Amino acid sequence: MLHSLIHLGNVLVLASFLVRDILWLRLLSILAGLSFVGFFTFGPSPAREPVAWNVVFIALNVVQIAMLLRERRPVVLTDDEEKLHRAVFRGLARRACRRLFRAGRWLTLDAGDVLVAQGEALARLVVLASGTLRVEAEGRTLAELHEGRLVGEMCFVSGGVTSARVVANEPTRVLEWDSAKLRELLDRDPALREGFTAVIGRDLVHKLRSSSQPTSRTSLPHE
Amino acid sequence: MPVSSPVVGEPLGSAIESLEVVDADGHVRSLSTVFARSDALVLCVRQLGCVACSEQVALLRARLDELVRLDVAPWILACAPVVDLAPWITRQGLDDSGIRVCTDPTLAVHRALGLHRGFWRAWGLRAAIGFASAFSHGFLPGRFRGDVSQQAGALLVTRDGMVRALVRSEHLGDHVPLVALIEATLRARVSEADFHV
Repeated sequence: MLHSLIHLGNVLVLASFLVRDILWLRLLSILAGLSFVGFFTFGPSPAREPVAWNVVFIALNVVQIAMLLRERRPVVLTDDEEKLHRAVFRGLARRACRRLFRAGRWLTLDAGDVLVAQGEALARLVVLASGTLRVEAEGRTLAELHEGRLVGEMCFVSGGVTSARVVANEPTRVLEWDSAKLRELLDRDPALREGFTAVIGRDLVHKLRSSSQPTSRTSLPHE
Repeated sequence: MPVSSPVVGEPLGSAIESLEVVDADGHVRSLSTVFARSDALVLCVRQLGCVACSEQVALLRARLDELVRLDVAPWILACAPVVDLAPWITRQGLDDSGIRVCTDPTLAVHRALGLHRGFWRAWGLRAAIGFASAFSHGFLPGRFRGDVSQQAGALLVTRDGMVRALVRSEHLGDHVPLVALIEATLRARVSEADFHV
């Protein structure tokens, strides 16, 4: 019985070579390792070295499996986050999106609240989740921003101070990031940075195209 | 007479703009026509069999929509004989892609941009790692066509003639950071907005 553990272990190694899913490969490798540990501990010719090495392999695979399972867990987003993901960040993986959303903070504004002041060295980036905002300068409304639009992306991209202020038209919900923290997060995750840059590009192009209108209404195409 | 390298934040300069490249149909055009109407991103690739350059082209194609949205015309500049261009364009799936391809077998443009060139940049350890990385991503090498020692790079020039970014790859496999080039384009676009928020 114990003698056959060496064959069982090798059959499991063989089986692990045949599967394509890395999780199953690691699981089979652990079972194979356990068979080898059993054979070299209790079998006809006990040996410490193969046992020690197989314990290392098993431990490594256990850690990797734990990481894989964590990555494969379904990502649950709140209603607000889900809405933003669908409207603005649909090109990003849900897990990356959750990381992005959790790095920011949600704010609720009342009508008339000033989100961004004119002449401010803005160190925040904001995405509008619901409600509307107006961009105004010298008493003139330059643009109206609707769900999914960004605020502060120009300062985020090129620095400088704001040339207009942004005011809530109605009860409005926004997600706000500290620019420095957001930049740090994006620098750590190249895929997230690529996706976020695409979002900023889309938003900026939309604003530039809308700016020829007297009072531009900038919202996402689905609205 | 040597042409001085472009400097980021300064105009490209007529000396470089007057340099000539050849498109796949054999038409000779000056670089000034490349930068004529819109922003232009010129991706300089190595010899046409380069596996890492195939990967770089695939990365460029993946961001093509974004570049077009930002009104950036993407170009690829090779360093191979003109006759090899058309088969390579087809192999890379660039026919009718919106990415225009031209070549400069004389390497005059590459030299003017100050792109690196050297044996160990193409055959050293880092190059081998770059090769293995691209190969592991499913890209296959082709036959050497063009200057084997020449390294890749990229130049982003906005419609006002200003150099917004210049990238010089050190070794085979050093990909041009497209996201950084797009961010440079965004910075240029911000200045066109009616308001700055």
